Amino acid sequence: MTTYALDYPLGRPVAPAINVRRRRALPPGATPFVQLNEQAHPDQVIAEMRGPNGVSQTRAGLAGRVVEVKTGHSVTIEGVATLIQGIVGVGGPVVGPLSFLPRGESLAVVPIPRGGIIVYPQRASLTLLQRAASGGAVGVIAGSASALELEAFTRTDLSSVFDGFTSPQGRQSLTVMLTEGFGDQTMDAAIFQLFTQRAGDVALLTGLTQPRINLRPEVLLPLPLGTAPMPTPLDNALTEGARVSVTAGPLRGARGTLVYMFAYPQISPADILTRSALIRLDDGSTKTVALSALDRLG
Amino acid sequence: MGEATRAAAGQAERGSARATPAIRSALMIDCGSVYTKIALIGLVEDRYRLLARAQAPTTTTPPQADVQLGVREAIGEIERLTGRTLARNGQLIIPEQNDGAGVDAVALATSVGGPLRLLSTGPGREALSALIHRALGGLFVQVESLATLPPPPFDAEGQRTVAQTRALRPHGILVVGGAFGGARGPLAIEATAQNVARWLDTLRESEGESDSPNPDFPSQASPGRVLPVVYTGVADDAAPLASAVQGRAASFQSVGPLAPSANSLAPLNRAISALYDTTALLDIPGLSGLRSVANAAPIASITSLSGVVRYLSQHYKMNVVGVDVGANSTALAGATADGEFLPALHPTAGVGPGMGAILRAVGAPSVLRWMTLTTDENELREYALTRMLRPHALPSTPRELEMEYAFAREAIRLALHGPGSRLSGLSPLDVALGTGGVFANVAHPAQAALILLDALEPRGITSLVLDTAQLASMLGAAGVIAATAAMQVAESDAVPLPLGPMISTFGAVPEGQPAVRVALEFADGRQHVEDVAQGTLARLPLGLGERALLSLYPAPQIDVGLGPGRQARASEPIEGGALGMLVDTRGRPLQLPTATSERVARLSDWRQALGIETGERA
Repeated sequence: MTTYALDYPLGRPVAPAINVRRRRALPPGATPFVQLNEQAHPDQVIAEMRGPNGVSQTRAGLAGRVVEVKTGHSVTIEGVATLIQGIVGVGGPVVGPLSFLPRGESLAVVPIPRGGIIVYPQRASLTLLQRAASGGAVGVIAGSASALELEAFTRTDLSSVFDGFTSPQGRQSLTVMLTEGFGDQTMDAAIFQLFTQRAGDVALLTGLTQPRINLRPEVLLPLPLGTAPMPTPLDNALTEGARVSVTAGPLRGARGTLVYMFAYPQISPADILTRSALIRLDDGSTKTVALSALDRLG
Repeated sequence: MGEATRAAAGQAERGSARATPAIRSALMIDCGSVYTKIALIGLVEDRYRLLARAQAPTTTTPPQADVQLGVREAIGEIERLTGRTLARNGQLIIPEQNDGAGVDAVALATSVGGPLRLLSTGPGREALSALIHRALGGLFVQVESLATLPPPPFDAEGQRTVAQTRALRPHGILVVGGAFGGARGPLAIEATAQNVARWLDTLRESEGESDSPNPDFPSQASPGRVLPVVYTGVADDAAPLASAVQGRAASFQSVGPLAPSANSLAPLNRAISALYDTTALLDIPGLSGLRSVANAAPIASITSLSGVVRYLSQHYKMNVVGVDVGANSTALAGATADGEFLPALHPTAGVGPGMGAILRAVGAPSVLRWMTLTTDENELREYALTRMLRPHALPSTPRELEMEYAFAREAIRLALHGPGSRLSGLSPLDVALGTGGVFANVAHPAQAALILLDALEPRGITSLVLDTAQLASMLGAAGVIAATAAMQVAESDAVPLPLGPMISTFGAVPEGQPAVRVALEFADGRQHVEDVAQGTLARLPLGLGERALLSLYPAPQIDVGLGPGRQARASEPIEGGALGMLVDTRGRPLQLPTATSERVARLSDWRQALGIETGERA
């Protein structure tokens, strides 16, 4: 009997190297600069539009081969990338270098990297989001945020966005992705380390989130041409020996190894019977956790 | 035979139900939107009984985009529980073998994929809305109004209308002809026809496909659909509509005009039921594999629940309401002793991803009013949004559990008082049956009783029953292929946990004064007499299965279902349940104090009266 962690379309929040195709929408009237089968690099301008307000450029965001060009509409690129999926996001696709804020500076005065995607491993405050937007950053990848503050920032009812009835991306210039979700959660250390190793690399960030149609936010970190992709979907079975993270409850954010699947439902901290597993946490303790509160990490 | 039963029977006919000789065992499968429930029933000493049940997450999206995977997981759990082999190499063994392996039949109910989403329009849409709701009662259908669309190119307002309509991901268009001929006329139907044709053209454009940034997952795109059109009305108006949609619609079906008689409502019910089968269920990955082993076409879970409730109401000659709070939708199925069928559905409000719809419909304060633990709006919204993002999550702390129950109350109230519902006025409500995950997993049965009481607000004497095995939403489907088996299991196993009789008074005397004196006279001569004060809940000592004669002596202004001040004495003994006997003198409609501290104190008192721990362990 196998049960699965089902919240990530690829099986896990991080896919180190997978083959992806992404359609880069072009502004109406934009002129594509790439041709079919051409190799694109992430920072490459693939289309441009001149208008009364100046020149608008669209960059590839992804290293790979151009597999479709629809003049005035879109360019589709296929390549191998590291994919990190968030649990929630807002905003459409943006391209920019991964940037980090200097430590110890107040968010009210910290310099904002114009055109960059800010990686912020803690809870993103409304101040940070507003400063990032006004300072010219194109995206923020954070551990978590308050729902009301994110709704205040986007001026949207997020439940309506998740159900597909409202789209906030037209109204805001900043794309946001939260790796851990709502509340006050620090970004998983392994994911943050992955970002720090790729500091300055151009990434493609998408915040679109519609769980009913399985649309999740993601950031793509390009890999060199020729990198061999891993097969997908990744194994997401919750089996003994699996590396897991706890997504809800008093242990939310904890990481560990699944050591035993209980044959019968166990009483959860909420006092309900639910299928559960014994997890050996990284701090050495063992805890019983509901299967519904586990993500597969490795 | 009511609409729901007819729909089930009709689906069975269309589904080319296989002849099933003596069925010794059957597997009932209910593919819910978040969890798949499976029950094995079989003959035990010449009666059909529940043998085992299990559930597993429903698997319809990547990385496990095949509903059969979740079904296999649940079947594996039943095999482990019973030691009986049901499948080999991933295939169900059918029929049952001499060694007991396999099953003879498979029944399939589903709510996965959501309701059939219909856009309604036409000259009779407003005038006939009550009849439309009756005709579609018992079906898993969401009806939304189709806006009037000007000719393209669309201005900003038009584009917004198109985007919002696309976001509904409609499955079809329902055109309602004029009522009794009064509003029909060539102009009315021709204007409708033009609008429908324009919408069909607009929705067919594959907007989703071209805009999706991620072509890797086809399910993420919402490619344009060629929608079917169903028309109900006089035959003369069908022709111009058929002409307008020809070549644009996937199909066009015309049924007769709606009228109050059941016979005139049935054709539309059958047409929409068929549409659910051929369109809404079409998108579910792997469902065709389940269809191939099922003995009849799948029916919607609410249709299945409706069948069971109708059966129970007829069998016991009582007014019965079944309440199923799902993750994405909430279904109430009511049936009266004289055969009237009263369904009420909220197709998008539930205690999983459906929490978003509840928040939008009633607002956070309406949900928060049921909380005793200090919870602010941000925390509530974060919980609801997280449940939308992680559909398989369950409450993981006492606080989250209390939020879950608060949402459940509002989900039931939304369905109860929703458009087309005739259930809110049902009195007396003899039996309230709670089914579905919320009720099956309650930490304390009193929690379930309180949810039902707070949401349904029954008056008079009501028996509260829990379907802890979550069978009710499967048995209607089983009844299509094995009626006797379904009936026997419904009687024996679908009502396994009687919570007890509940006396609900209405009318008011000043707070704290006696509202009703309750007297219980036991067979051994013991008596228990208790005055229950206004504004309270009381739990009387009548043990599970214990019987006593009940007498009620209300205050002059208080009604126990017979009129203000009228006393009642039961001619037959009543039987105690898991909670004994409950008395609710909180009044109708139930009103909570507006001051937070007073409200929390009142809620805590009520819970403590029923034996529920309050505070962080609530």
